[in-house]
Amino acid sequence: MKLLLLEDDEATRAQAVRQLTAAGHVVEGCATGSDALYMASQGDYGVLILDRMVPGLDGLSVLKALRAAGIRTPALLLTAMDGIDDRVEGLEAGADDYLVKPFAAAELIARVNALSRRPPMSDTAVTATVGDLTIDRVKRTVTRSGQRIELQAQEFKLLDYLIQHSGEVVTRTMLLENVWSFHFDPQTNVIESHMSRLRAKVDRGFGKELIQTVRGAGYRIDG
Amino acid sequence: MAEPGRPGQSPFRSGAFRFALAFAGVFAVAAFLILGMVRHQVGRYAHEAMRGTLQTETPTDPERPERMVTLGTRLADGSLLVVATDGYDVDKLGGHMIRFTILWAIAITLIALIGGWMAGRVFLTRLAAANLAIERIMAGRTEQRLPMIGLAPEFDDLSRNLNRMLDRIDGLMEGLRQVSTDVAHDLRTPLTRLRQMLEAAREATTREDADAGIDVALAQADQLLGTFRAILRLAQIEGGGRRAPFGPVDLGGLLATLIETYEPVAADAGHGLTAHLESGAIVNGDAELLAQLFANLIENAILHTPAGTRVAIGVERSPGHIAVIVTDNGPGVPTSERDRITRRFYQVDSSRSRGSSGLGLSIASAIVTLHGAKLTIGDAAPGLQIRVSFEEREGHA
Repeated sequence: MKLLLLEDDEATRAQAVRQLTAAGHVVEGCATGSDALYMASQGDYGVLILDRMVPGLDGLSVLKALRAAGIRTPALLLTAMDGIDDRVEGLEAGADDYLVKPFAAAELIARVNALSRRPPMSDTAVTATVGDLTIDRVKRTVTRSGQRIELQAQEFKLLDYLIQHSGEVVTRTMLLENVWSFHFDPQTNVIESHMSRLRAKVDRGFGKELIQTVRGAGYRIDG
Repeated sequence: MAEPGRPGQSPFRSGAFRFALAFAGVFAVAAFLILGMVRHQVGRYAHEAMRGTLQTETPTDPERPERMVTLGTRLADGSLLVVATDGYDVDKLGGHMIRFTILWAIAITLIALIGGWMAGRVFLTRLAAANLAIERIMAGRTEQRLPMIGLAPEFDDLSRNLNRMLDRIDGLMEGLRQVSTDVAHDLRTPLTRLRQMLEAAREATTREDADAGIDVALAQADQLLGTFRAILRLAQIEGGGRRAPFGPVDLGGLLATLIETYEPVAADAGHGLTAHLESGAIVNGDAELLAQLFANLIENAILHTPAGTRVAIGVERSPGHIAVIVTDNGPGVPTSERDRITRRFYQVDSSRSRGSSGLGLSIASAIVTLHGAKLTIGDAAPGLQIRVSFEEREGHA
């Protein structure tokens, strides 16, 4: 997929381009907001990655201008600030996701992948299937191999989020933000505890394990 | 005692002299006003006196011609009637009174001059003492405080307020020093480990060893970044400059979600987590920050108590107030340490092996302050009880 990356720091840009290219993307980088605005309005990009703080026209203004011009390409805002207001401001300006610097390469790749397929039909469909596992979002039921599985509310949300991104890596931060709405770092193993319970219910005794741990990155559900 | 006014200055330019002049000036003006009044009034008083029993004297000194006041009229038969009187007694009385008034005016002005100079000197001496104290503080003796100025309660209030301001600044400075020291101290350990791991990875003979070393180094780097994020977040909450206005937050619902989130965490750590919640406990606040507040309190109870500890969350309502109480039956915190546990990087057990940043309770405390609520740390006998009391949102009583 073709990505646009606005980042004024050359070293950071080169590094991100290398990592995203290694993940199978085509990345076009630029260093100024006006370049980004021009390129984004001309080119056909899958995802825009915009650094919020660049000299001159900043990422937020670029995004606002693009949205005002009716360009709806999914956008990931990068920022060195982790303020609640900053995040709200970014989302209000039309960002689809928000990533605080510094971040791991896996985090950036996972988020770009998550954005690139938004909004997939399966997100809004009533039922979704991964392998022999099926969830019903209206009845809030889960079945595997025809066998009913009882999940608690947060376990269901967690499984649903994994299935929405089936085949892709979801990171811990993505889970914290989207399943628990936690925009801070918990000091305890919130994700591990819930994940082990979910796995015990969904994967134990069914032969094939659907949920995999991706070392150094996060989790992935695969059929 | 310091000399009022600046050294090497003429006494006539001193503050005390100016005070004296101002006092004397006011009295002199007042005295001359009285003099004018007396002059104006004296004639009337004399006339009134003469109508009564005041004896008239008429000097018959040929050397000194008298001035008479005469009034004449022609009568019906053509004769002329002249009435004459001298002003001797009136003049004498007037003269007496004017001399008397002038003398007293001068005396009063002199007394005012001396009194003003003394009062000014006393006042300025005290001000000078306060100034000297301020100069010492500016020179670095920050423990110094201003003396009471005295003379009036307002002056003492001024001293007291200035001293309180100095206490506050001192507290802030101390906090800043503490934070810098703590940050440096707290980051040194993970940085050292990071360095060691990178060195080990470089010297590793196999690819697996190198990877393992790099993984540990990455984990250390993440921990460092986590601490930095927590420091930034704390600064941001303490700064309070938030754009988003507070809205109604249902504490019961928020806590129920958190209990569901932390129940498996507590179970995995061998802890019990129970809750006695109430619906309809609405406070005014920021839901995201309040979630972090209670998450931090729950995590604190899980992280800093041994396995087997029970943690209970309760909501207590009294008219106009809502309190959230987090209680554990762990070892508790000694009374002497309780004030300190909300300080940055403070750890009751100095070992830092459990991965806590040492900022959880500081952030919790900052969120409480931002919400105008009150955090009290008490004894659950045995264990620790943390109580956060909010004012209930108006219109939801």
